[in-house]
Amino acid sequence: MTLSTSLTFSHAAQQMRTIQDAITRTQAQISTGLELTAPSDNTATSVAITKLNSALSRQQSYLDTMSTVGDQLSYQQQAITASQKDMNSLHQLALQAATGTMNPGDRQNLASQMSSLRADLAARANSRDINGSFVFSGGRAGTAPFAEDAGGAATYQGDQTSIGVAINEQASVNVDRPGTEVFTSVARTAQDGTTRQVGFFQAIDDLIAATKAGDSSKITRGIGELTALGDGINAAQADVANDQNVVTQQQTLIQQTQLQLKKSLSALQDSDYTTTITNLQKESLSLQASQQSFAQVSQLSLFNFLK
Amino acid sequence: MSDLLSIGSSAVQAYQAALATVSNNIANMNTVGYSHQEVSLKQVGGSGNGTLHIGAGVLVTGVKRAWDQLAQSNLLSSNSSLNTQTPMVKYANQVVNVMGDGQSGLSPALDNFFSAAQSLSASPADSALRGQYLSSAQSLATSFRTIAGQLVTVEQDSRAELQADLEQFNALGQQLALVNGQLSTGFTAAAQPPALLDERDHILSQMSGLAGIEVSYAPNGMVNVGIGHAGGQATIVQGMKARPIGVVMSDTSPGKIDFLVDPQGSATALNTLTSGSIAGLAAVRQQVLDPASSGLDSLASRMSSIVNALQAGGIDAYGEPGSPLFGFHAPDGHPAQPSAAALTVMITDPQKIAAGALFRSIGDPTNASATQASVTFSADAATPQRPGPPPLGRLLVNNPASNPAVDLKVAASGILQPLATVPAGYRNTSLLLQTNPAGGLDLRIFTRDGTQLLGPTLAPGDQKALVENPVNGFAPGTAVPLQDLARAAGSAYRGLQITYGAQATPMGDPARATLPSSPLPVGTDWSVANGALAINGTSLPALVHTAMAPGASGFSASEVAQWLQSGLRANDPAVAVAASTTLTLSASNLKLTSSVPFSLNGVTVTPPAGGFSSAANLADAINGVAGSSGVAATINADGSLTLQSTYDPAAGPFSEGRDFTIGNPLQSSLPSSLGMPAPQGGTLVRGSIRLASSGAIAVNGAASDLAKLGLRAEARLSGTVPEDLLVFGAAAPGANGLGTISAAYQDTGFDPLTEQRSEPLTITFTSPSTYTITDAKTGTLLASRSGYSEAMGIQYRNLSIRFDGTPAVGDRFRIDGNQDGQGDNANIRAVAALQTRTDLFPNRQTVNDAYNGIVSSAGQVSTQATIAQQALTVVNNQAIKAVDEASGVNINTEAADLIRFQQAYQASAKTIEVANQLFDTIAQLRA
Repeated sequence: MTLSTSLTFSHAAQQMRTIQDAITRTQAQISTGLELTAPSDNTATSVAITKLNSALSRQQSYLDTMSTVGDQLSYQQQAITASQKDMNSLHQLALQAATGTMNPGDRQNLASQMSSLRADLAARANSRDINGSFVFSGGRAGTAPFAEDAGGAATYQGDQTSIGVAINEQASVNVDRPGTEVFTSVARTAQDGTTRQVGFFQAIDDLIAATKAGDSSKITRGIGELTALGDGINAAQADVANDQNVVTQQQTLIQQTQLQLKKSLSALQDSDYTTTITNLQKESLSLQASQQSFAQVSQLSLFNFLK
Repeated sequence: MSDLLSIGSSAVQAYQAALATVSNNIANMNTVGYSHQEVSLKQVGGSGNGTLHIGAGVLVTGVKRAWDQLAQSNLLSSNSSLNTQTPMVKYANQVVNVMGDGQSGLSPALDNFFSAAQSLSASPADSALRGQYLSSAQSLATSFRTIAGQLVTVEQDSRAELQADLEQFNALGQQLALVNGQLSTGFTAAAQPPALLDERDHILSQMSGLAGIEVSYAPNGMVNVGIGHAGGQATIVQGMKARPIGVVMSDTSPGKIDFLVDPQGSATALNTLTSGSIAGLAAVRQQVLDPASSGLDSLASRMSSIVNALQAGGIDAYGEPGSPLFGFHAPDGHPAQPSAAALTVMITDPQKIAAGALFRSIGDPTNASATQASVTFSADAATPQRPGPPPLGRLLVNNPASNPAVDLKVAASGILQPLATVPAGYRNTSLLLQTNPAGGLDLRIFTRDGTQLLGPTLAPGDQKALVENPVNGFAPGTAVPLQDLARAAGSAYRGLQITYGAQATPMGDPARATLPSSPLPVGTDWSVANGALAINGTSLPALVHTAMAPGASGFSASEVAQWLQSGLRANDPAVAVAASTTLTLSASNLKLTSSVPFSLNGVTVTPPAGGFSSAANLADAINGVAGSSGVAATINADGSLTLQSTYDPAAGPFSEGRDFTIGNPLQSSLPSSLGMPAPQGGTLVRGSIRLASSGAIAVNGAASDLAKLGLRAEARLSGTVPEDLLVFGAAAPGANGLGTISAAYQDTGFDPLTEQRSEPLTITFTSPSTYTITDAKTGTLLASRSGYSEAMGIQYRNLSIRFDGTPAVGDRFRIDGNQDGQGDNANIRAVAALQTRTDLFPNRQTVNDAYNGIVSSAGQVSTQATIAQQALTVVNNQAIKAVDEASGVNINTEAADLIRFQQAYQASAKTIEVANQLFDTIAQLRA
């Protein structure tokens, strides 16, 4: 088979160009550290990489969310822990008031100590987070949940909206805690035998009034109510602690998932330096050989020998 | 003897030509399209002498062009196939790179958008997060627009390339036609100048790269070129004539491409273009660009409608339902059709992002149980569990002219029969019921929760059966006894004013209401009970048949008017009563030529011989006896004749309302002057009454009692119906249940969302299984239901309310429009959850996967085209080699030829020298 001289030359040039292209691509793989220099190199891999990146981004957003949730839970935790202390002190004072050996001045003194504790409790119940939203008012983030009305009574002003936040594809945790779940109401049986629910602050206000008046039966009733109210706060604290555990566990889980995803992503997207550099050497060698053989072959003309 | 000198000289000439040809081959070694040439030598036969034949030298017969037609046609077809793939690879890769880029593709923008929604869901009142979400929405829209814009660039590039290719193809066709013209002068291809044939083949080779062509060769080397195989072939070049190809491309759909042959002349569609770069460009536009851009557009429009629907289903930080987040606008700001290129964000205020739910429940702080309720609103839930009778608008057309037109028949069982549902949103609805005293018909209207708004009260025993029958449309669990507002004074329900009876409102100037009746029905024995009817609240005394009415025809208008007048005067309402008895006969009905006599109240009127000469004569004849008959006649402007009872002071007030009888004294079967023959006993003409007042008039009572006065019953609901109302008909046992009904209404459309958000409700549990629903603002009882279960929850209008535990008796829950729920995240959570939902996009994919699918499809085309391109390159190289083998110039061959011919030349020159020496030898001998 005889080929024309020009075709021989253009073939040689074409082959060198092909190797040159391969070298350029390999160099790009080395310098970017990525297997694919453009999505069109391998669309299927490129789409798989896109999907893994999406999954990673979603996991990251869950993780970000959980940090917000963790902050919210901390606000609740702080307020609840402080409230527990107040309740304990209040309980102590109420027991003193119930001893019956108090003179009116002492009782007034006790009552005013109780009032200041009650004011502190109200401040805790009306805690705000860093954005200025009330922690215990449900969806009514801009409404103080236990604001006092003109008569000094503090009934719950928030709502019962439970604000769940997704922490993975399936599960969610509640980021808010309606005030009535912490500062609960308590059942009170009147003398006529009827039972009605009395709000948290109403019960305390009634106890303070009884202390001032020295009404021992009402003080005793108030001590019972304080215990029930304290139970409510303790239960809320347990709930918050439980939620915090869920968040911590979930954070660990998501970090593990992220690690897995990153591994898979790296396997697809990162170029393998050993292979790539070997390829580069192979291709360079091939180019050099082509160039040298071309130089040789191009000298081979009959004319060179006709002298 | 041969001439040695001439042999030598012929050889020298021949080898000179051969050397020149070799030189020319070497010179054109790198000329594209050049075919190797060689001289054809032929020996010259010499003179023969016996058995001795000595040749006379050599002759150049021509320069032969090395050419292999089969190799050439293989080259052409492989050129076409290979060039089909080139643009497909190029543009499919461009699309993949535009859409699949890890940074600028849509996928990161979508991820970002959902991440921002997720972050906002953790702290919905945080305005910084709201801003972040809004800007992620803007980035998403920008991403859609950018990718769409890049696809447009790819589209424009491919369009320009296609047009350039076509222009080149058409120019080549014209060149080929010119070459054909030059070739046409020769007779054989071998005799044609090789350069011309080379040019022809070079043009064909270029053309084949652009489009798959079929070439047919004429013996003289001319060629015809067609596109497509025999059968569906379109001729492009025929002899010296070339036909151009034109293209029509759509501006909106890249895949819509039509090729035409000879677009300026006799244009014919070209659909046989299957290979070559032009076909490849068309294919990549159809298979890659079109699906990519339309897929992106539908993704943008779907995404926008889904997010906007969620947005509309939530409340923003101002407590209002969300407005659309995405819209479609052209760069100049005008609204545009949904497309990725026009996707824009419509909201600029982050507070307008609807993060919260439309409704919420607030348990009363003093509730004994810790049960909480959740509320969902569904616009689609407008169809309740028990739809009840069909909507009014589907049964009766809006007929403000108020002529009861549609026949109605209700079973006379006393059981309520569902007639229609008046849908929420109807304004100023009015139902007119015409019956007669024997009809016994009446209407009743209830809410779906059993509050009776109109009509006589139902016996408690019947209430239970009514609400429990599923076809009646009452809410399941509706508790009895039912609340009856129909008996309450004022009869108003949620802003709706309700009246029932015959009524008229003042109109015109001076403002005066008139309430006309139809002619009183012919009854056999009827009466009105004491208090059964009331005019403007004044009860009327009994109208007893036996006391006042002789005969079997019931009361005359005159008697009814007297009774009304006496009853009203006693209570002194400002209502005037009038009565009249009239009968109008149209001009065409009169038989003036008749000679048959007729009588009026027994007074005979006999026509003159040959009949009356005019209607006026007839009227004169009637009026001539009016004094005794009590019936007068008048001729109206339209020529009709009206008969009416006259006022008779002796008969007392309202005597214009007396009945009169048209008789047939001769019992003739022929028509009298008044028209048709009167039956035996005559025709009774009854009167009607009219009530007038300077204020409104309302006559209240059952429809069948109103019918006794010739009045129609009207159920009037003034204002906007705030919730579906159920209309029932009932007929008393023993009645015939017949009547006609018509309706007037304005269907203004209804937004249940706005309505329900503006009306907070209170749900109160009255026992473990019963509850009431009241309007929280007014305390109006809306529903009282039994049969509550935790599994079913509560369905009220478009709301579905569920409880997470067992409510205690006395627990109250307020359901409101969440106007101050800035901390609620229900809606933005739903946006964040969109990312993993597979039920919203085609083929059960998530939005990201729907997008990745578009990229993958383009990638598949690119991969296939790349593989095909590699395979076809091998084929093409083979074809090039085959052609090259036949026609290429090899420098070594030429060098050898050069030496070969040079040596031959030198040898030939030597023969001349030898000849010369021989000549000299001979010359010396002579000398």
